[in-house]
Order: sequence, then C-alpha cells, then structure tokens
Amino acid sequence: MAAASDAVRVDDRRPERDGPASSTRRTDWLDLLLDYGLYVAIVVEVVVFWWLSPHFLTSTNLLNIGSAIAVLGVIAAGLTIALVAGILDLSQTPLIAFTSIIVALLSARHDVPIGFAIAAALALAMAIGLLNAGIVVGFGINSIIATLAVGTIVGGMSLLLTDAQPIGIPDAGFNNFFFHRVLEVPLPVIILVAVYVIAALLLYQTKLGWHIYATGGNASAARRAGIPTIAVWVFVFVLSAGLSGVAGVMTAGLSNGGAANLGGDLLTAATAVLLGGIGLSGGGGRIERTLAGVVFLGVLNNGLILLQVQSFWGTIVRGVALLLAVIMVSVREKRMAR
Amino acid sequence: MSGSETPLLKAYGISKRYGHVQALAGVDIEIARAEVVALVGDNGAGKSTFIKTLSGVLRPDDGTIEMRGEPVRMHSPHQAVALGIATLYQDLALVDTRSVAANLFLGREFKRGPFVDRRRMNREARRALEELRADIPSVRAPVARLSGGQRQAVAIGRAVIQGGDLFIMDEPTAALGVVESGRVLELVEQLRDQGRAVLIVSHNLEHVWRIADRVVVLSRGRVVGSRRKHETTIDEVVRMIVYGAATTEGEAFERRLATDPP
Repeated sequence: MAAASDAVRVDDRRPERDGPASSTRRTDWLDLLLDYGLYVAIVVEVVVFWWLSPHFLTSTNLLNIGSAIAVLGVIAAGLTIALVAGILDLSQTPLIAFTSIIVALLSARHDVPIGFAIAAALALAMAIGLLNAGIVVGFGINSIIATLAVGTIVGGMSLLLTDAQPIGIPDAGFNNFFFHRVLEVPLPVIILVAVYVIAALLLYQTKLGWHIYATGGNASAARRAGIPTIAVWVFVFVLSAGLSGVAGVMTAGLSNGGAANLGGDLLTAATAVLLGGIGLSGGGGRIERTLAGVVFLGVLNNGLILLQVQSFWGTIVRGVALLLAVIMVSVREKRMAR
Repeated sequence: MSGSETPLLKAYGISKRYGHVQALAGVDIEIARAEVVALVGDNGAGKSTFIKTLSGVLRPDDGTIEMRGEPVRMHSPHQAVALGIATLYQDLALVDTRSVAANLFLGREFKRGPFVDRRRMNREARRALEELRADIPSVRAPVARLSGGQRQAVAIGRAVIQGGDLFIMDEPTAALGVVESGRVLELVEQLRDQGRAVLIVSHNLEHVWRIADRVVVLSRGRVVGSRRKHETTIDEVVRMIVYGAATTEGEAFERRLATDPP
C-alpha cells in the first residue's frame, strides 16, 4: 500500500499560498455555523417556546405546525430542486392558486369527479412547467424573467376564471380527505414527508439527481461529460410545476375551494430555502436543510401566535430571518468560490 | 511487441485555413505509447488549432489522423474520447460544488439497481487517484476546496477512468505556483509510467524540459523541428521557436549579429 500512503499524505509539504489547506483549518467554526446553525436555531426556538408556553410542546400543537407548513414545504421542495439545477422558478405561487381553481371549477361547475379534477389540474400544472422549460431552453432566456412572466399570465388567468371570487367545492369528502389522519398524523404532513423523502432519494441516490447537481453546478462541463442538460432542465421545470400543482390540490382540499389569492407568498418559501443555505448559483444545497428552514419558520409562526404576539412582529422576525439567511448563503458561496 | 512499432498516434499533412490565414500548413506528428511529447511554439504558431483537430473539436481541411495504425475521422469530441484521446482543457470542466468522486464519474456514474453506487465510485475514485499518486485528501471533498494542482489531478483522473490512451494537455501548469506545477508534472510522468502517451502544450520550457521525451516546435503552422530531448538543448529549441527553422548555431549567430551588432 505504498501508493495509498503516498496518496493520502496531506498538507505537510504544502507551503502557504500554494493551496487552500491553511484556510480550511482556520475557519472550521464558520463551517460548523453554516452547517448546523439552523438546527441549533430550531432547538433554541423549541426550548424558548416550550418554556414560555405550556401549549407549545403538545402533540396536537406539533401536528398543527406540521399541517400549517405542509403547503409551504411542498413548494419549497420544488424551489430547492430547481435552484440546484440553476433555475429560479417564480411561477410556483401563481400555479398553486391556479391549480386550486381548476380543481374547484371542474368539480363544482362541471361535475367532474374529484379524482379527474385533481388529475387534470396536475397535468395542467406540468404543462405550464413544460412551457417554462420551452421558453427558458428554447429562447435562452433567464429563468427568473421567464417564470415571472409565465407566473403573471397564470395569475391573470386565475382572476379571469374566477372573476376574483373564491369557488367552493361541494364534495365534502374531498375536504374531509385532507383532514384525514393516519395514526394521528394529518394527511398534509404525510404528503410533506413523502415529498421530501422522494426528493432526497431523487437528488442523492439517482443518476438523474446527480445530473441535476452537475447541470446546475457547471452546465458546460456537464454537457461535455455527455449529460443531457436540456432534458435535465425540462424535467426540473416540469417537476417544480408539478409540485406547485400538488400544493395547489392540497390548498384546494384544506380551504375547500379555489381562489386566485391562495398560494401564499413565494418570499416565505424563498426564506425557508435560503435559511437552508441553498445557494442561488446552482449545483449545491441539500434538501433536508430546506425542510429544516420550513420547520424553523413554522415553529416561529406558531410560537408567536401561542404567545399572542401581535402578528406584525412575525413579519418583522421573518424579514430578519430572510436577511440572516441571505448573509449566510453569501458567506457560504464566497467560501466555495475561493 | 509489434504494437510498439506502430505509433499510438500518427497525424500527417494536417492543414487548416481560416479565411486568409493558413493556421496549419501540413503538420506531421507521431506519438508513441509511453512517450511525452511537448508541443511548443510562439503565440499564433498553430498549437491550439492543432490540438483541436486531434480532440475532435475542429475538422482539418486536409490530412490524416491514425490511432493505433488505423485512420480515424472525428466529427465530435465524444468520438475522440471513444478513441482514447483525452483532452484536458484549461478550464478543466469540473463541477466545483460536487465531490471529487462525482467529478471523476461525471456523466458515467455507476448504478446499483435504480440508485447510484456511491461506494463503488468512491472506491474506484480512490484507486484511480492512488495509481496517479495524486495528492487528494478525500474523494468526498468538493472540488471547490482543492488547489489548482489537485484539480488538475481530478481532471486527469477522470480522463484515465474514461480510458484515455493519449492525453492532450493545454498549458496544464499555466495558472499554477511552483509546487503545484511540480505536482502536475509528476502526474504526467505517472501517466507515462502507466504506458500512456501525453502531448503537452506549454509555454514554459523549463517545465517541458523536466518531463518531455521529445520536443516538437511549431512555427507559422508548420513543424520546424522535432528533437529527442537528450539530443538537443533549450537554446536550440528557443532558436527554433524564435527563427522558425532548424538553424545551426552559426546561422543564428550571424542573424544575431545582423539584428543586434555588438
């Protein structure tokens, strides 16, 4: 094993300025902060709220948090996978409202069975993802601009279809379905966990997932290595839109209808993603960290409500969290680029 | 050992013209297995154009390329790779955010069932880098954390894994410090010891001298000299680069007198 011991000789012969060895050692604490700071923050949050409110650490409340973050979590997953591929998909939140409306319209006004309505809404969402992909890949347009435009169109269609009025779903079974519990766990939480498990398997364990990272990290290198980068982008756009569709169907179920103003704000999802340290430059990031970011925001929101803090404070705290997240992401990317 | 008589690569009469500019005017070159050939020449001598014809990026207007005695036509870089010609560009084509192992197997990841076989890739990555005696602390480290020389090692390792027989390296030491350059030159020697051939383009004659078996001088699209290293001197090579022909010491002296009288 002479060769092996030769190969693992580390650092000792390397003078300063010739390699990064010295700096990796010097700032280990910063790495630790970037990697585990979020998890520590969640623990701190939980401890503080537990201490301040007797209702916080009850199974009912924890499951409430889970239900409250489910929709946000699903779109944050889509946002993360897109960012890993080097894409920013801003059409997600309009798509949530749009799919909720399609489900409601088809089942309430056209008597389509709820299952078909859901399938149609998901298919439509994915078709819009395909449209995003076509515009970005076909015309070489920046994904931010393209998805912003498509999102605006989708938002306009939602208003047009509903006349800006909410549309109820008469089928009570659909609504009940989303409040259904399996072993006490609400269905939205199960969907949330399933989305993250599948997304993690996709990203970490499949060839396609590795190709998503490679495409986002260095598209030209990926292409030269034979990775079909265009197909990867198309897949990611469709997946992201499909997850928006899932979130839209969940929203329709939870609010028992569709409306153009549903879907929440993308900034909250972006905050969760950035808290998770997912960089904006593509090719990096781990999806379980996005889930941690979502949990962090969910716990924060819940705790502030339990403590009856005026809700405006929540907005301020979220803004601060976003700012901290952006700073952390920027520090992380600078360290990677060094 | 009949194989040793046929050169690994033989290119002759390679010509390429860009509009009015004759970038290559009939370049002949042979590279044997386990041989390190340095391609040197002034800026605009045609070095880059020539290696692009070998790596399938450019199609020559004229001339023949033979690999292992068989004439080949390459229409794309992928075909060159399939023939065992590995080109390492200056940007190295690495994905900085990904691990060393992921870069080594970029685009050709091993699978086990539906999933990637991470353990096998890590193992084979370690083995490939050990064979190169590359100095890389961990195959799991992201490439962004590596030094310039280590990045070269990853790019070379990938070409080895892809089955490269002939390595074309474009200024591999240009952006590196002294120690890192030394490491890259060691890697080139390692490739030769494994029986692979290396065509290295470099401006740095000192580096060339440390590793090359043969030096080929290109000037205005022509080969103006091809010398075994131990049959020539750096001075002679410099004269060939500058004056564009295999001049004798006397001729060069006279020219110097003419241009720069004492």
